[in-house]
Amino acid sequence: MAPATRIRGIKPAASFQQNGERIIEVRLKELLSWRDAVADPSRSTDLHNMRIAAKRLRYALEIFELCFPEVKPALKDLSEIQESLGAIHDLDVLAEMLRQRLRALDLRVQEGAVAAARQADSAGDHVAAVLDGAARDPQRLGLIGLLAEKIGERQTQYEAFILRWHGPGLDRLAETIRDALTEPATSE
Amino acid sequence: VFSKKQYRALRGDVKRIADALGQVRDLDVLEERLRRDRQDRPEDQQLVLTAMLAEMEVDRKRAMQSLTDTLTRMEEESFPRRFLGTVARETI
Repeated sequence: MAPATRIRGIKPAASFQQNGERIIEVRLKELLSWRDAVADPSRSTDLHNMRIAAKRLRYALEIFELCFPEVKPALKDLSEIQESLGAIHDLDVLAEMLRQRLRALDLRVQEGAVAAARQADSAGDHVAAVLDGAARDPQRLGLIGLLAEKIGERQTQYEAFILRWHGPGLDRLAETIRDALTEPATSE
Repeated sequence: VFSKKQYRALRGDVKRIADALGQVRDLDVLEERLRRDRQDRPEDQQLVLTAMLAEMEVDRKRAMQSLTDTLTRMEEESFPRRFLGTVARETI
């Protein structure tokens, strides 16, 4: 996970609103910095980083909503980004767990095949039996079925995310937030 | 508002709690997802998910123990009193 960008220029003597503006600007820039990286579906870590950046920005907006009430619609959008990227991340984690189990299973099959090949009599038959057993192994079939499904689900989720948030959607969100910063709440 | 030294100490303490809680929470979320996912599946896939859930149970117990240890240690180190004391002192 990428560490949060350090926010410079925070002054205890400045107003809550002034400091809030600075924090929100930095957190928005941080979110937008992942835009190009996430165009590549294989960059799982950067997709996760963008989710964390969305979370940090949302928290900042929630804290300073009192000063900038026009940020409200952006909160909903950021929640949506977090949810979409969260679902992608969960599927990435799950797919990796399944891959690891499949690799471990394959390793055992390889070891079994090597041991069978060393047998003096009918080594070929023994190897074939090991491979045949592996091909029918319910654990292996289950893993392959689950993995294929999760990869497909991830693809669908990613495409939906890119369609919604990689183009003008993200621009509009940034614009909403920037506009909100120019319209602070008036004190009564 | 806070001195750097005070802030870093508080932040470190809170991070320890958050990390320990996060480990348990992540496993809970994943476990819930796998349990939901296991329903209405072919038998071979249920077999895989059941095995994964059994392994996660062990990880979850370990994470829970780590959380309990962290909280106990922080109580022994009087974290609540230190935290409230620092906040009260620094904001007056």
